[in-house]
Amino acid sequence: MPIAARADLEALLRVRKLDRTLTTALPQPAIGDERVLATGLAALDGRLGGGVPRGQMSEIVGARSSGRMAVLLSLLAGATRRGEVAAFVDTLDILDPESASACGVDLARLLWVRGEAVSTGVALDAGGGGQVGRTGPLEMRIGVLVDRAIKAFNLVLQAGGFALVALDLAEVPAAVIRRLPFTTWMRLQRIVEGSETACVLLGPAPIARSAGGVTIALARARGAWPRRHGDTELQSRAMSHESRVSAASRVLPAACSNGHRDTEARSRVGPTGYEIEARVIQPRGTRDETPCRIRLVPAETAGGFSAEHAEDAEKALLPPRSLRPLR
Amino acid sequence: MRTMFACLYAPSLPADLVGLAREFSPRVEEHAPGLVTLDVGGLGRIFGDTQAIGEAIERSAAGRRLPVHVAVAATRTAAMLLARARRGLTIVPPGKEAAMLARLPVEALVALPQRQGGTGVGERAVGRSFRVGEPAVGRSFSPAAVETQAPRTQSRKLSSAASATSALIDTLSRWGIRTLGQLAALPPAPLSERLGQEGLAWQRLARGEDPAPLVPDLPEERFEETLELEWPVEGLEPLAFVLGRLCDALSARLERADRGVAVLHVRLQLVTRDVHARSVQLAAPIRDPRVLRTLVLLDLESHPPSAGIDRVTVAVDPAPGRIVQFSLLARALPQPEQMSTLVARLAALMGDAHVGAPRLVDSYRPGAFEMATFVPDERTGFSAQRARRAPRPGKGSGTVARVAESREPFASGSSVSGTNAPDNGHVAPHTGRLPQLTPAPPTVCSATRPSPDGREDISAASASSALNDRPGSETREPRAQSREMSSACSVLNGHGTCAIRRFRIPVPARVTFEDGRPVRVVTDRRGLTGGRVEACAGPWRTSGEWWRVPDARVETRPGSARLLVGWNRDEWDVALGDGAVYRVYRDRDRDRWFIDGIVD
Repeated sequence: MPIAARADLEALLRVRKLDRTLTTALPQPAIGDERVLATGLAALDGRLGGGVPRGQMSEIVGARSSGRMAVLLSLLAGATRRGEVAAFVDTLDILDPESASACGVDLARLLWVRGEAVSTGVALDAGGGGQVGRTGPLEMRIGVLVDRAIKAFNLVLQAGGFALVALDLAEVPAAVIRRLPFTTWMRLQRIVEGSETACVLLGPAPIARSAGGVTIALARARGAWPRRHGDTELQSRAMSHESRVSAASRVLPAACSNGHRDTEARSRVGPTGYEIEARVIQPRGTRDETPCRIRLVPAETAGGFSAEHAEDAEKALLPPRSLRPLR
Repeated sequence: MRTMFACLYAPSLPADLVGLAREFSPRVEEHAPGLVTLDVGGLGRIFGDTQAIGEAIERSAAGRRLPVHVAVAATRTAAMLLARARRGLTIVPPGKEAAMLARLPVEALVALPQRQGGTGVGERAVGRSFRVGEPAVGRSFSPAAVETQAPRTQSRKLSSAASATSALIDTLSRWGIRTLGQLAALPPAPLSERLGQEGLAWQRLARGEDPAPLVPDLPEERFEETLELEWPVEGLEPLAFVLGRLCDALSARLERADRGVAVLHVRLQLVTRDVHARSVQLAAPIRDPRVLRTLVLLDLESHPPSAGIDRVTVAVDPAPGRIVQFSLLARALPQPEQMSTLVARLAALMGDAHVGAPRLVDSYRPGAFEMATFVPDERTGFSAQRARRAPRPGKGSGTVARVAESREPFASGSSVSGTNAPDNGHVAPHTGRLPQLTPAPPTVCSATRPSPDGREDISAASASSALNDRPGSETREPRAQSREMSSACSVLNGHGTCAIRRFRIPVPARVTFEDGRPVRVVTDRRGLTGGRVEACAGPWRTSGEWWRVPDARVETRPGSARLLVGWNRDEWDVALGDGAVYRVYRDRDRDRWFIDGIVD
C-alpha cells in the first residue's frame, strides 16, 4: 500500500476514533511496563514483551494438557500477588482451587464465577441418565451455559477494576463457539478497550482477540513424562500407619481428623514434570518461528508406590481386619 | 453561656431518669442506674435562673411520681456528690462548689461512679497508671451491680479496687482527714509525695472539679422506613420507585449519622396477608440509595413475592461508616458499591452459590473447597495471605484464628458453603482439630518481576521475610501453606506448575489393565474418546471421612446429586495417544473407574 494512502487511512480512522485498531500505531510494550500483565514465566514474558497487554483481549489456546491452565493460573497468580483482583468466568465449572492455590493464586482476590458442570451424555451403568436427558443434547446445554458465561463475562468487564478477567472456553465444543455471533467478541473488545483490565480467553483454538492482543499457542512437547510404572517405588510414612491404627481403635488423632492418605501421594505427573512449547502471535501478526519451552512441574514433590506393592503395603500398614471400623 | 449541670439521683431503683432528663436537655449522661447528669447550661432563657431550672426538674419528677434528689452545680462532680448526699433540691452557686462539699465525709467519694472519663475512685485504684480523661471501657458503674454480671476477672479487679479504696480511706482516717473540705485543704505537693497521683485525683474530686467533660449518651436511632400503598403493587418495576423513595430517605438519615448499611431487610406485606421478607447482606457498609435499591431488586428478581404488595418496609442494620485510605503505590481496588452490585447481578444470573471467592478447606478430599464472599482487602495480596495463614513462632493457634476471623466482615452469614451442584469434592468446613504436618522448605517469595534480561528478579527482602515467616508449629491450613510454598519454589526456579482441570461430575470410564497397569481408557462422553495409554504413573491410594456418617457410603448413580461423604480411591495419571494427560481413579468401594480431571 502506498505510504500516502496508508497515512490517509490512518488519519481517517483516528478521526473516527478507531485508531486503536491500527496495529502499526500500537506502542510496543516493554518488560516491566505497567501496561502489561506479566505471566511470571520468564521465557514467555520475554517473548510477549513483558506480558499480556492490558486493555486488550488476548487468548491462550492449545489442546488438552498443553499447559493452558498453568499459564492462565500463572497470570492470575501474578495479578493477585501484586494486590490486584482478578476474575475467572468458569463456563463448565472446571477450575480446581487447589491447583490455583498451588500455582500461587491468592484465592481471596479471585472472583470465581462458576458455571455448571455437565455430566456425561450416556452413563455407562444401567439406568444412568444425568442431566442431559432433562435438557436436551449436550451441545445445546453447553450452548446455554456459554451464553450465560458470556453474559457474566460482560458484567465483570463492565464493572471494571479487575486486573485480569478470563473466560474459560477450553472444554466447549468448537461447534458451539462457532455458533456465537462474531459481534459478541467485538462488543467485548470495545468494553475492555482502553481500560486497565487484561482480558484473556482460554480455548482449544484461536477464537477472538483484539488488534492489540496476543495469542499464546501452546502445545505439549514430547518429553520423558511420565516415568514408567515399574520405576516407581514404594513409599510410606509413619503417619499413615498411626492414622490407621488410631482409626481402628476409634480414637481419631488430629492427623486424620479430616482425611488421610494410605501413602504419601506426591508425584503426580512424574518427578520432573513435562515441557510445553509456546508460540506467541504478536499484534502485528508476527508469529514466533521457534517456540519457547516452558517446564511445568508438579506442585508436590516425588513419591508414589506401585500396584504390585500395594497389597504388601496394606498388610504392613493395616491393623487386623477385625479392628477396622465399620463403614 | 455559663456551664451548668444538674444531677438526678434516684435512691429507689428502678426509675426512668434518662427519660426525665431528656425532657430538659439532649445532653444527658447516665453514669449508673439511678444516677444521671444533664447539661442545663442553655436553659436559662426558658426557665430563668438555676433555682427555676432545678424546681422545674423537681416538678417534672413529681409529676412522674419519681422520688429523686436534684442538685444543680457548675461541675458534674459537685452535682453528683450533693445529689447523693442531700434530699430534695440543692443549688450550688457558681464558685462555691468546694465550700458546699466541704462538710461531706470522705467516704462520699467512694460512691462516685467509676465513669466520669475514667476517673472514678474505684477504677483509679485498679490501674495506678490510668490517665486522667482516658475513657472508661465499660458503661456499668455501680460496683455491686457489675460484680454480679461481670466475668470473674473483672470481679477480681473490682474487689482489689475496693480493697485499695478502703486502704486509702483508712490512711486518710489515720491522718485525721474526715471531710472533703479537709482533704481539699491539704497541700498538693506533700499529698502527692505520700499518695501519688491517686491522692491528687481524690483531692480534685473533693474540690468539686470535673476530671472529664460530659459525654452525652445518644439514643439508638432505628433506621427503618415504611410505606403503605393505596393500591397493591404487582411486579418489580413499580416496586422500584417505591424502594427508591424509601432508600433515599434511609440513605439521608444514615449519612447524617455517618453510618452505612451492613444488612438490608425488606419486608413486603402481601395482599394475602403473608409477609415476604428478604435480607441482603453487604460486603462493606454502603449508603448509596441507588446501589441499595438495585441490590434489593436483584434479590427480589431471584426471589419474587407470590402476590401483590400492600406495604413495603425497609430496615437496615447500621454499621460505622467506611474510611478509605488510598495508596499511591498500589492500584485501587474496585469500590465495594460496585462489587456488591456486580456480585448481586452475577448471583442472579449464575446462582447464589456460584459466585464468590474459592477457599480451601483442610481436607485430603480431592478437589475440596468452599465458596466465600468475595471481599478483597486493601492489603497487598500474597504477603497478606501469608500473614493470615502463617502464624509466627510463639503465637498460639488462638491468635491465628482471631486474625482469620477478624478479616471476615460478616462471618456468620457471608460464607456460602455447599452448593446445589453435585460436586465431588465440595465439603462443608469441619470444626475438628487440624493435622500437624511438617512444613515444606521455607523458600518463599512475595513478588516476582521479570528483569530486562528475561530472568526473574526476586527481592531478597521478600525471601528473607519468608524465611522469617516460617512457622514453627503449623496449626492452620498446613496443606494450603505447603502448596503455597511449592508454588513459590516453582516461581523461584522459573517454571510453571501443573494444574488440574477437574470434572465436578466425574466421567465414568472403562479402563483395561495389563500387568497391573492401565493400558487403555475408554469413555462414552463425547469429546473424551480415550484411547491407548502411552504412559502412566500411579496408583496413589487415598481414603477418608468414612467415619463422618457410618452408613453414608450408599450406592449412587454417576452424575446424581447425592454427595458421597467418604472416599476411597486409587488414582492414576495416564497419558493417552491424543497427547492429553488425564487423572483417572478407581472407586475401590464400587469398583468403578472415573475420569477425575485433565492435567493441563
